[in-house]
Amino acid sequence: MAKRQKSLSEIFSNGLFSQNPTFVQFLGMCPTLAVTKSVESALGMGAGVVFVLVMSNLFISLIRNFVPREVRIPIYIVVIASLVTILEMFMWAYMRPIAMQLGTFLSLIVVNCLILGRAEAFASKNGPVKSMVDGFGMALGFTGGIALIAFFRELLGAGSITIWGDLAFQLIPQNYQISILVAPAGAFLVFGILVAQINKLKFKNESEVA
Amino acid sequence: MKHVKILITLTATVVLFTLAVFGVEKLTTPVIDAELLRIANEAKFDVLPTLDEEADKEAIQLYYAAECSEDAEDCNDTEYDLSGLEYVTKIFVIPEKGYIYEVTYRGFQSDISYLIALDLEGNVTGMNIVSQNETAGLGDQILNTEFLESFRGLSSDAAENGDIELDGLAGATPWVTLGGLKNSLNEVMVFHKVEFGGAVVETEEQKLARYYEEITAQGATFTDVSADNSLPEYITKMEVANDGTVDIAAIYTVEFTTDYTADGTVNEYLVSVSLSDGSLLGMRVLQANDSAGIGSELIKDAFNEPFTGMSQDDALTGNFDEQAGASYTITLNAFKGSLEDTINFHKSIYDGVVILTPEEKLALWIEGLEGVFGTFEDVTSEYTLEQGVTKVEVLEFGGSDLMALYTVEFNGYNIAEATTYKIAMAVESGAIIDVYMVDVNETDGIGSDIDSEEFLAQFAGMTQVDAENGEYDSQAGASYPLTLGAFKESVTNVVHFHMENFQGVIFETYEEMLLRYKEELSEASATFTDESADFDLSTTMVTAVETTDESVVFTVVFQGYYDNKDTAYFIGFDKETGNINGIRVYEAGDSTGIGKLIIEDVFNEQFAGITQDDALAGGFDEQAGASYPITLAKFEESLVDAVNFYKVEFGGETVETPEEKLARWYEEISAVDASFTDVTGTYTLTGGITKIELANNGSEDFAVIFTAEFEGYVDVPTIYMVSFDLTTGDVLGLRVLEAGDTVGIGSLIGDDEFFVQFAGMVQADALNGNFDEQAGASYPITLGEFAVSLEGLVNFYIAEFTEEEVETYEEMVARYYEELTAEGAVITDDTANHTLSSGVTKVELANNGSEDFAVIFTVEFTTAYTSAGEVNEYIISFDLSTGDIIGVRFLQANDTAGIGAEIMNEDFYTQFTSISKTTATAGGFDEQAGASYPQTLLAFESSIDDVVDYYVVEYETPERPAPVVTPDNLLLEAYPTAASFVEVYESYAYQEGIGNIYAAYDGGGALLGVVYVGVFTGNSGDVYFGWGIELDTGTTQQLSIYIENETWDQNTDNYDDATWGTDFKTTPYLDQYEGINMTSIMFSPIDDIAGVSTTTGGLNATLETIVEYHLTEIIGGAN
Repeated sequence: MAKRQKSLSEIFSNGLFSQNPTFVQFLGMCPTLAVTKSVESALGMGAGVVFVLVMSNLFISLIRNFVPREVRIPIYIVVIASLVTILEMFMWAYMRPIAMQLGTFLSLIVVNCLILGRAEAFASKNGPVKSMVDGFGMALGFTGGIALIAFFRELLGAGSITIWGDLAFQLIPQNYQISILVAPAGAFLVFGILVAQINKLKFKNESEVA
Repeated sequence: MKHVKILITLTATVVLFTLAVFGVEKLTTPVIDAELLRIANEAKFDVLPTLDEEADKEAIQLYYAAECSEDAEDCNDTEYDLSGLEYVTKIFVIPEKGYIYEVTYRGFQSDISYLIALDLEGNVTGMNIVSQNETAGLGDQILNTEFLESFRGLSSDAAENGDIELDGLAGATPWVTLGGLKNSLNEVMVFHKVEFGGAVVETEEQKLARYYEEITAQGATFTDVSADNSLPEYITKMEVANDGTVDIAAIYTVEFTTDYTADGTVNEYLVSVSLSDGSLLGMRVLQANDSAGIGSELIKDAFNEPFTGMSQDDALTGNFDEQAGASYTITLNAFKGSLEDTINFHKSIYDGVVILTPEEKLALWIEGLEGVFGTFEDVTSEYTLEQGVTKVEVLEFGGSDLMALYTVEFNGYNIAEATTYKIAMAVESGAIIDVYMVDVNETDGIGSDIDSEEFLAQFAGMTQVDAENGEYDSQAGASYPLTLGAFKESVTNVVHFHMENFQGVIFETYEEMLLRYKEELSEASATFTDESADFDLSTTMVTAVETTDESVVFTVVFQGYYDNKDTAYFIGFDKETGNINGIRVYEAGDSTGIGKLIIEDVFNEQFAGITQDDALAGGFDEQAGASYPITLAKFEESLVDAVNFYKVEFGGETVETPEEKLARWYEEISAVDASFTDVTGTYTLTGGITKIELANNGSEDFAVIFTAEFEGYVDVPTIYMVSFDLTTGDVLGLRVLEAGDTVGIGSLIGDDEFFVQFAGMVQADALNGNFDEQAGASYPITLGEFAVSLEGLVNFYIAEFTEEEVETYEEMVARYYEELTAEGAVITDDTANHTLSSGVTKVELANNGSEDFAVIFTVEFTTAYTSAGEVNEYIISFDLSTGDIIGVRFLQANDTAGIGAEIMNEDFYTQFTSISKTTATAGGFDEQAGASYPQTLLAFESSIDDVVDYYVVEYETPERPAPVVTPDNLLLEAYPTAASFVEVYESYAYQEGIGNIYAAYDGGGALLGVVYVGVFTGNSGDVYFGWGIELDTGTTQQLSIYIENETWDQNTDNYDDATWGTDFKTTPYLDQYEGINMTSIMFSPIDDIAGVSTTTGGLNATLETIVEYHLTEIIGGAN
């Protein structure tokens, strides 16, 4: 009895919603909390993760049949670290302001457990197309998650949303901003509230079904 | 094949991806460089606001570049000396506008580049970090705009002493990041002043000349006397200072290094020692090259100044303020040692105190021995050297040998390098005359203490017998047992060498000793017949069997602590009685001074004439010889083996087989002839139980026997069985079948002595661990796990075999709550009304029907020993009327079983019943109750402290002291531009150190700022002052001292700087706090003044408190 194969769209939406890395799997918490001060840096980080995760899933899926089990983790690390280094160089060259904002967290994509997690859990067992779709879905889910957190933090904490300087608009006058939200503690607060809301929705749906 | 594949795959992957990364680097590097260049160019306009992008484009001249670009056009030759520039990489000159410096230094994990611009007056117009990659949140705090802004307006005059202070930057920026910034800024400032500011900065030579005068006298002349004295290598120069009439001081230039000194550099200082009283006239560190910001802090004035006029004793004992300069211990210790050496050298030159080389010391010692009797003659060649003796010398007097001097080597703890000593003995009596350590190679501070005077002093005049037997105080000098053991052995050997060679004593050979031992264990002049071949020795530790007419002697060999080193002994049996004639250990392989002590007579003697049963029972004095438990346990094992072997082979007895022993044990813990039924299958087994049997005495099942296992210190299970009386529920008996823990320690749980105590033990005692844990002296972890396991068995028994119910966790908690409040108290959860902190997870109130009389906190804490994911949790209740602690109960303890987890022990927590908060936080309660581990205890103590604080905050908030009412005329001193003042302190939080707060209004009624009335404890009484701060800009107004009684007079030698005047109220020192941005005292604190540090330190601390308060309460709060 073979397990029913999941369709590509299921794999894709898996990462976006039901297995969302940020709100369901709680993966990659370090960047989640650190780069969500502004939507811009969240999207920058997200783009980086999209690139690295899709590419790493592709490579690892391609070589999955040649990699001896004993050394798979070192090899995944080499693949991921190289991809991150490449990404870092590109970002410093062409997207310097975002690279500066992301700072160390850019290099730390290497240790984002989401990447290694997908490599081990999915890409090492599935074909390249599926793996890329999985990586894309997961990375988008991650991006969406951190962008959502950043949206609330920046909006309520700094009163404006600034994306590449073009989309800047001051929404909340300075006196009414909740400045703790852009402080490190704010990340935990917003994250906690969002997770609670998502769980509430989830449980509501479940109980309605029951 | 597999490995080859792994290797190939790994290599291929790495190579492939390295190439990819390399390719991308090639591609992106030019882009990144271009980007950096663009940024650097743009930053120029930021730092020098007067610069116009279009108009000045052509005017910017590159004045200097550390690295010339390829076309070399930007490498201008200049008339100035640029060779000293270490950090400045580029200098731009913009005529009539200013100067821009590009500076690069090495930070903590990246090169940090910044631009700093100065206007024509030499004031900083801006600073901008161009690139850095320091740790986020730490080093990258230098990007903080506020921090960078604080440099604006800084004048290059500030660099007069080449010293810009950056201490205390908010944001915990690491020293490494700041240290380089400071150094590089100094370079810019000094360079700028010299080259563009037209000012003269003291040259190195001038500074040195100033130092010389400062540490001697003005106008003194100096004569280099280095050549006249043979200087030790650490003193590079010695000079004598003359004040015109007499020589007043000797000045030494001294170098020292530590492991932290930068390669190829040294630390160097000047010290001048008075020729009249030997005190220090002064000390100046010339170079400090230890870690920047840490060891290098020695160079600070604050460190150097206190040495002026310091007494020689203080200097020698290191009695100076180590904190001045907050230097690193290693650097300080090296400095101390160097200073001590230098002063000792000075004493040797001027006070005639002779400093001897080790060779001279030894020669002097030998001279002392020789006295008037002559000289030692080397007679080594006449003797066969052995026992570590490398040289023999004798002193002849009046025709006969008087004294022998041996040079001896031995290895103690250090096996690679021998320790050498000399020992002198009177030839005839053999008494020790003296011992001298020539070369000690044992661990510093431990074994090396063997060289202590206290230890060696006891040898003078020691008798030969005492020396031979090691009858001297090993503790003198508290040396390490291994070193001492080896030394004692060596001394004994030398004494024997002396006795053989000079006193005609003939020592028995090893073979003679063995024979003597065997004779002692049988009968004198017996004939031994080796019958080893007649026995099967393959399953025993007995390696040889010899018989005589009356006795049997076994040779037994076993391994103790070391698996590869044999310990061997003879055991003799009396053929007739079967008793043991005695035991002689003739070879001991375990550690000297520890397991090897088994060879001592005092250990062996206790076996003379004992019966076989005594030998089998063990229990002889293990302390005789103070041997290591593992050695002893293995010895006992071998003894049992040898005795059993004798029993079987010579006594005609049979030895109980393991099966017989088990059957006997079953009967012992139930009844003779009982029958057993295995009922294991009927129960769901928990708590490590592996077997359940019922014992039947013919008429009824009267007992149940559980077999259970647990893991103690190691992963090998310990298995035991225990039987319960089905009528009374008491323990009938307990037997340990297999003890898995460390032999001689945790395994002692398997001793009869331990488990016999359980026979007939009442259930409650077994449940509560009320048994003698010391019986068998087992290891706490083994015992702890055992107690947990036994408790589980008792509870299992109660649950399955009685009508009773085991108290559930919930019931226990409910009981605890009643115990900590009152019976029938109503508990309500009040957590929602409190902000939880200090580990408190729950706050509950206990109501007795009329009022809430107690509060109960549920508290968690963890230690490094707490099982992952678990916590230690306890509840503590406070009496709301008295504030006392009613009691503490543990809900869970998850530190190491038997150690930290013992904190759950009733004996421990009941100490906290009905005690005051003060008692609870003072500590000092019996930590042994429960024998808990210090880590757990400390964590618990600090948790209790926190919880008491929490209680005080939540329930005993202290009353706010009355504000210090200050008349308007005094407030006006602090805020001269204000017209009226209104007291506003009440609407803000109370802060210690702030006596009152007034809002200052101008004539039109507009709010200008605030006046803080500050209070601190000065050197003589409280000091009150007022300090005005403008609300909009944070600019400080006047700092006016209202009430003070401080001593502020440099004439009474309180401080050295005459510029600070004689009255604290009017001192210009206070001016520093006026008209500045209040936050600047946080970024660059104004130094305390040595001598009046209580006054100035107290003032500084209070002003900092005010600034913080102002920022959080007045500005940050609703003003």
